[in-house]
Amino acid sequence: MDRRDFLKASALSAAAASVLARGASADDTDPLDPAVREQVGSGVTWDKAPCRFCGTGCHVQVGVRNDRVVAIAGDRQAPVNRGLLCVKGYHVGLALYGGDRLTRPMLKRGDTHVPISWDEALGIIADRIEGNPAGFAFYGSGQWTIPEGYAAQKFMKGGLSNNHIDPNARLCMASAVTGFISTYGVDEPASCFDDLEAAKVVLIWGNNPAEMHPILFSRMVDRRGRGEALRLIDIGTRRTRTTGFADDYLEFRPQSDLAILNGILHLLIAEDTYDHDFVERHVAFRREESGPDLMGIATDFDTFRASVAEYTPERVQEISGVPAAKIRMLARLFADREQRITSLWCMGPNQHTRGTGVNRLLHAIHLLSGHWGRPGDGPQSLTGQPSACGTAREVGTLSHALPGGLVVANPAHREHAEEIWNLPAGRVNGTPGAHTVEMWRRFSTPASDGGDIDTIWVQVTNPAHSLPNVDKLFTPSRGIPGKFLIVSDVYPTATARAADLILPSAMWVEKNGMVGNSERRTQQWFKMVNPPGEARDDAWQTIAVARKLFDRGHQGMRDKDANFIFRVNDAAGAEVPIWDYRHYYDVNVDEHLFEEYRRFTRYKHKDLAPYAEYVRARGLRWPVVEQEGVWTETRYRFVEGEDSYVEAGTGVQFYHSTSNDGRAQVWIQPYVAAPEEPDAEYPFWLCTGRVLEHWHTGSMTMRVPQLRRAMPEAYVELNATDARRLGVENGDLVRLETRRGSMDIAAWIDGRGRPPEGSLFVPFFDERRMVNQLTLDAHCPISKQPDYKKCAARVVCIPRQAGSRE
Amino acid sequence: MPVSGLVLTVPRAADQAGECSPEALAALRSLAFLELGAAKDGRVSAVLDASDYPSHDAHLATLRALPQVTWIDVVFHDFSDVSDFERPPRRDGGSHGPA
Repeated sequence: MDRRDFLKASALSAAAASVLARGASADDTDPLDPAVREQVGSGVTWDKAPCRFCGTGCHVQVGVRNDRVVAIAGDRQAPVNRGLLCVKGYHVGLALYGGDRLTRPMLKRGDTHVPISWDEALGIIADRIEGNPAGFAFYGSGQWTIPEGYAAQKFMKGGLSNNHIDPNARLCMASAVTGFISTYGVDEPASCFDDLEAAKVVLIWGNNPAEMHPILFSRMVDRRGRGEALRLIDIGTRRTRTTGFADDYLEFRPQSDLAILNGILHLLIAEDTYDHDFVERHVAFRREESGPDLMGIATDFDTFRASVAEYTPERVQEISGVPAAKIRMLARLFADREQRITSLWCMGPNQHTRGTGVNRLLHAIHLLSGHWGRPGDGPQSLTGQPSACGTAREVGTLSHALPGGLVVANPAHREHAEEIWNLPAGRVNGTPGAHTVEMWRRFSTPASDGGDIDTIWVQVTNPAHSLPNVDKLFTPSRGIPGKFLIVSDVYPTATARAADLILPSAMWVEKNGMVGNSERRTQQWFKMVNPPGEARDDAWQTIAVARKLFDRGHQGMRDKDANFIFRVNDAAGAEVPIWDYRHYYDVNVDEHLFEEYRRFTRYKHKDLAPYAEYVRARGLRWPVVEQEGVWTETRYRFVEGEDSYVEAGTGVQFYHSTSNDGRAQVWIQPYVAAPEEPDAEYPFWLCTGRVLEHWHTGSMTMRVPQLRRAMPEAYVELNATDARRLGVENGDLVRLETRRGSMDIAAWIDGRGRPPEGSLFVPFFDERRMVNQLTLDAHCPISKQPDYKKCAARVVCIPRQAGSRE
Repeated sequence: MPVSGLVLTVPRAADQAGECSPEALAALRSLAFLELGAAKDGRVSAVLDASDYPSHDAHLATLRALPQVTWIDVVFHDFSDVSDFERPPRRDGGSHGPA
């Protein structure tokens, strides 16, 4: 048997094992199929890592030979994906090897970037911070590992007393955060992916998991393959691959999800089918006081009932376009206590100018109907980045937050942070910093006009491509004297190319890491290969800058005992110079940072286990508590018998209730029209999003040949009737215009996604077709998350002889 | 020369619980680039062997287009022979130079 035959046999064996066993059995502890493991004989070593891409948290086995990743296999021991991977996941190893990896620090001189040393680069950053400490900001993402985000968080809030730190997660799930906090008093889903096996009905709200979370969707498809009854209801603004699997498709006008949700609530009350017992025991009612606010004031059931009374099925049909009979169908489902209903959502409800409101109402339909807390019966918000939950939300790299669900505005929380960080009292600033849109607006505004942020350090994201209304929030900064952009990245993205200083970063298995997925699952991996050239870990970069400031005498980089705030000792108690990259891996810095961070997590009952537990596991869902010597994860939060913090006899206990009575809050949240709707001048709705093959701005996936070939460029989805009326054929170039910008782009009619008449969709992965030049920067007033899903646009035909596709 | 281990979800036979539809299996067997393995509960294991990535992509597209294939999962992918890593197109029309 030659090597190729061997590989084929291995591949077939791994696939067959998945089919026959549906993942590994409980007594099979090998994460790899034995035939695949045989490759160890050919010099390949294997280790576990979570996938680099979305928030699902699939685990892969990474095959390494000669300091290079050469193979990827699904991890059979991983509960999330059970040995399976999606098209992006099995190409994840290739994302390391694009031909244009950044390998040296580079400084912009004139119109070009010239290589400089790391020491020079660190000195330049220290100079910028010392020159204007209050004008410095740090912008990261949900791709920061937990230790990376924690280091950045401590550096800014504990070291510089500066809260201008925010992640791009503000752009994708901030509304989910505010929805959870205002409903339960604490962030993150109480349920988990196990619901997908237990639900009888899955409602998919403005979401396309068949393309965006394909492994989760595969679990549902698999159930049907086994003959199980599972009803899928797709509630969206355009037909997608998900729609093809759905039993029902409810198409609503953009923004009117608010009305549909109110319509369900109205019918549950009007027909007296809400769960009286659950409501009486576990629910309180709340409303905003005088305008949008996070915590609101208490109200009563009668006021709530009056607030939803206008949302009759007929009125909802008028607003949303969804037939009244379908609204009744949804309400009947929730009225049926025998059903097990899971609601799934992601960017649709989050990227919304009333994102907090939609999220609140998604929780409300489950709370009012009592479809809450049983397996398969509850709301489940998904995320799009590998550590949007683990880092952005739990480590709290948001401008208002501290680790573990704490906030800077709370004096007790600041005191707790200062105690853990061993800092003098008052070091942590109590005023929230600039959120994402505000940070970039101030960076793109001259100082003389109030633009007081003059330096931004970007790690692990690409804001020149992903910010909304990018020609307002990003582009102007590049022409304003005195504004300085620092970018740490692995590839020369649109942001890196626009930077004044570029720092080459290590990626994924080129460094140690930990992330947290959408079901509270914290995951860990070890470095497996070396990064190219002088590329280095992002956490090291932060620590090295901190040390540069320490060496210059910056008091913020010292704790109460005058020690370096990132001091790490070896087993003998001697300080390890981790700021010198040659010694960074003398100790496990990730473990040191994580163990310190872990102390924060008990405050809000988000307990994490010791680092070593994550080395053994394929992730553990918090709170992870020690019971009889065993660290035990929690599947369902706030549920007796599942969550050890719930008191016996309560059944369900929302122990972080904002009303301090163990109750969750059901909010009054009326329908509000979108800030920009189609009109005579701009008659189309424009929605943006992702596609199966590409992840975010495509900076990784566009460098994987097979993914790029499968989806080489962005397009605009156009309804066939609109296309006929406009005289547009498949592949024709059209000019897409909004009040903010325009671009030429190929039309795709009746393609993978099918928008209704009057609607358009453009994916945002392609930097040549940068749709964020067209989108609004209007955002939810509570979460500050922008609405990328709806604005008004028009389509202008380009005569065929003049148009040519690249 | 990429090799992928796949799990294909296909319709189940109408009268045989736990079996895959014979029509679906016949359609898959007709594909020369695909080698089939064990099948159960509407899922079929297979290995896709291609001489290069363009043909690998074309084979996957063929599979996706088959009405008998409901879903494709990947459990194994080897790319140790791959060397044609590319540079993506840029907004300004230039090429990404080496760092």
